[in-house]
Amino acid sequence: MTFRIAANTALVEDQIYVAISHGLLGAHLGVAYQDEFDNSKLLHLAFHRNLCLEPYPKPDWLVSRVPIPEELASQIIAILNAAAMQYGNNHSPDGFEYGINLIAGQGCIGVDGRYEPIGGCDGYTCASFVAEIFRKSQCELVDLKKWPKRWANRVWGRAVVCLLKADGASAQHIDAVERNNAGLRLRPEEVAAASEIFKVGSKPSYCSIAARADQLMVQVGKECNARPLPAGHPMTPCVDQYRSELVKKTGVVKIIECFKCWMFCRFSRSCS
Amino acid sequence: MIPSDTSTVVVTTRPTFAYHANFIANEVGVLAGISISNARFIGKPRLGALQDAMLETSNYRTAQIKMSDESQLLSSRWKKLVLDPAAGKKSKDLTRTTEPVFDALLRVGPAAIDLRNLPEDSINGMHLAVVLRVTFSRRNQVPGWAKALQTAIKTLKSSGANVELVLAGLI
Repeated sequence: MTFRIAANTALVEDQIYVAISHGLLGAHLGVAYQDEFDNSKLLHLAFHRNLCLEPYPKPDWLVSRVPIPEELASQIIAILNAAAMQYGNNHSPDGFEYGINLIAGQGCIGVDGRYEPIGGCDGYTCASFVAEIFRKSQCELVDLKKWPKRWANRVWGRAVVCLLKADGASAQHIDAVERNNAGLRLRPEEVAAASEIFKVGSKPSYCSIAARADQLMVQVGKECNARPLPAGHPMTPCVDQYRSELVKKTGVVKIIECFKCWMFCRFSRSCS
Repeated sequence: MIPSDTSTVVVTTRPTFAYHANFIANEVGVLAGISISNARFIGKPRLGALQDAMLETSNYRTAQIKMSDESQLLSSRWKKLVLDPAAGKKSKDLTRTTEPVFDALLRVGPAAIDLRNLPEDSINGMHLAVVLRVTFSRRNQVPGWAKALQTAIKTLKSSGANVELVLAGLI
């Protein structure tokens, strides 16, 4: 399966799709499917307490069908339909929080689809939310036990804290996210890459999708128009700071990162 | 159970009914016009307490009946297509099962999805599979979940469906 421009890709009934676009700190991710009224929908966690259920397609998104057999995809879509009816476009104070504790985030969607932050869970990112939808349906997309901690992810974590502050999140939530910034992150492009090679009963590791994830970021950059924040937006300084910190990454840091990845992936060519 | 011959109001629950306790307690509290934190579940005998207990007993029963009626109503909705072997297997058909399942889970909890005593000869394997999938994470609180999984396997096998795919992650 390959990612194509969403505007040129019609969704097929009983098939589930992963959609990727530009985000403030890299890429942004969602799932697309045809609902029970044959309307194409895009479900994505836009940010803190902001789960969006929007008409599909939207401009500047890429989309790819997840190769899930129809018998299984139809069940996941039926679950999504029911959950989206209850919680889609939920901007209420008990809506999904934006957080970065990847491991604790597993299992924080209750049996009834409600967000239930327990045991250190600080919420989801757009990517971990999509991964959790599949995990919750007993079809895991990735094997988080085989995911590396990275320096760039810590920089990203600090930027998320900055964005949450600019968004007016509670001090308690910001503290929790700050404490959880350990460099472990499931990136949107990584989930997208994993979704392309989905196979029932198999969970790809970081090393098996890292190279493809990098290719997808290049494709997003080429085929999707970025939408910069309007001038004076309270989140702009966070984005600027994030970019400047990444640019500062010296040659030595790059080599160390690459070596760590190389060791993590047991000397495979996945690391760029 | 609330003993009516004492001023002590005790809500005793069997483990399988533990998830009902909060709902019933809240209903009793609301009906009695008191917040649940102020409800006297254990107290010393005093004048008028017996009358309070009787009132609360009545409210408890009212709440119990109300919940039972609601459970039955919700149950009839989500079971409709589970007990219809001819029901469609597309996502839009399955949504007609998952929506009332979510509704029941939200209003009553996992115990509302009672999977005991399902008639094996009139089961729709796909609709039962999606109910099992939704409730998987709380399967220990769903009455009859494990047996229903066996029923689903049997039904799907006899209908020629790919059991490993339909029930992927559940078996």
